[in-house]
Amino acid sequence: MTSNKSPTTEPASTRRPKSSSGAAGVREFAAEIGFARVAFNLLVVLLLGLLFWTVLDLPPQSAGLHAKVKAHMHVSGVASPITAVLLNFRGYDTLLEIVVLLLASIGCLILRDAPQSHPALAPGRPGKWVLDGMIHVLIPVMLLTAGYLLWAGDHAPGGAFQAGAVLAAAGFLLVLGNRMRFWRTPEWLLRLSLSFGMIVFVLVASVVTILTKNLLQYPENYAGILILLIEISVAGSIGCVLITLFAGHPPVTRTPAADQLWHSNDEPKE
Amino acid sequence: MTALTWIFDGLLTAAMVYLAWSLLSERDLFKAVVLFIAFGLLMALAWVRLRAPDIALAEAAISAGLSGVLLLDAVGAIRSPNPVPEDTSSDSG
Repeated sequence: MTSNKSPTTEPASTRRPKSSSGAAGVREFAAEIGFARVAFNLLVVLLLGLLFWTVLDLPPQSAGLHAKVKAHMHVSGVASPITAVLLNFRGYDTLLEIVVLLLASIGCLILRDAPQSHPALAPGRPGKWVLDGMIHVLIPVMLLTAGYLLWAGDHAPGGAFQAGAVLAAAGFLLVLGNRMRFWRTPEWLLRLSLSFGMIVFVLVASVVTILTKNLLQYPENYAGILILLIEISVAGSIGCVLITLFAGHPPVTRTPAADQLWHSNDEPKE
Repeated sequence: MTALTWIFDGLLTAAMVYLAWSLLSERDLFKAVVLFIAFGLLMALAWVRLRAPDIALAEAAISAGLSGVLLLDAVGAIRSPNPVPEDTSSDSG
């Protein structure tokens, strides 16, 4: 419970001046709030001090790898240095991130309980009209934004992760508005959409690794198109993974009666 | 750097520290999540001020947006005795 920690540290600091000064006061204070808590707070203060010290110790103007990246931009296939680092120079980091996201969604699917039947998934609720209106207005704009971010990733801030996040936000709206039914997704489609980004990335990675004999080194002439291919597929998969984190659950057991009930309130009421 | 940006940065930093403190000490989980979303938005602004627009975009979309939704969902699941995915989200939405 993190919420418990802070309120206890606050009265502690205000109480300190009231107790008698010196070692006896400190001991009294420690006995009052417990030794473990004092030790923990000391540890936190120590870490904080270490952090401050590290920040003060930083060189005033860190050059980093900026010059190196700039020098190799012409082989990266893109115009934005961030994208060049993420998908070309340090491509395997991004590949592993995609794997982590996929694993997270699988864990989510394992841990969630399946809803008992689908009518439970379709409750009529207040505020539906507002949500419906928002969906009509926002979804096209969000799709456009996602596409723009994906395209902008080549030369400006943006890219697969941001585009995927916007796609997922659109999916959240659809789920909340009951326009996207997770349980209706065929299993093969779910599996494919979650892992599509990783599959494409791994395929590209293995082909270029075999061709150029270097891990994830794209041939110079094809770097741009390969990165675009990876970004598009990864953005789609990230969107699906994030929607799964939000709305995902194991397959629902379908009964004819439940199916009928579902279809009776299937169409959104106008 | 002009005086205006100094004032802006100072206000931003102060607001973030205040928000961080109040969201950690908030006992109502729902309020804490709302504060966390507000904190994420200010954090995105801070990344812009640090000239890292890429991270600002990711922060706004993922920290303020998606994490906020997931946390609200979790709070709803904790509150309702028999959690059903869509029902819990209606609490928050």
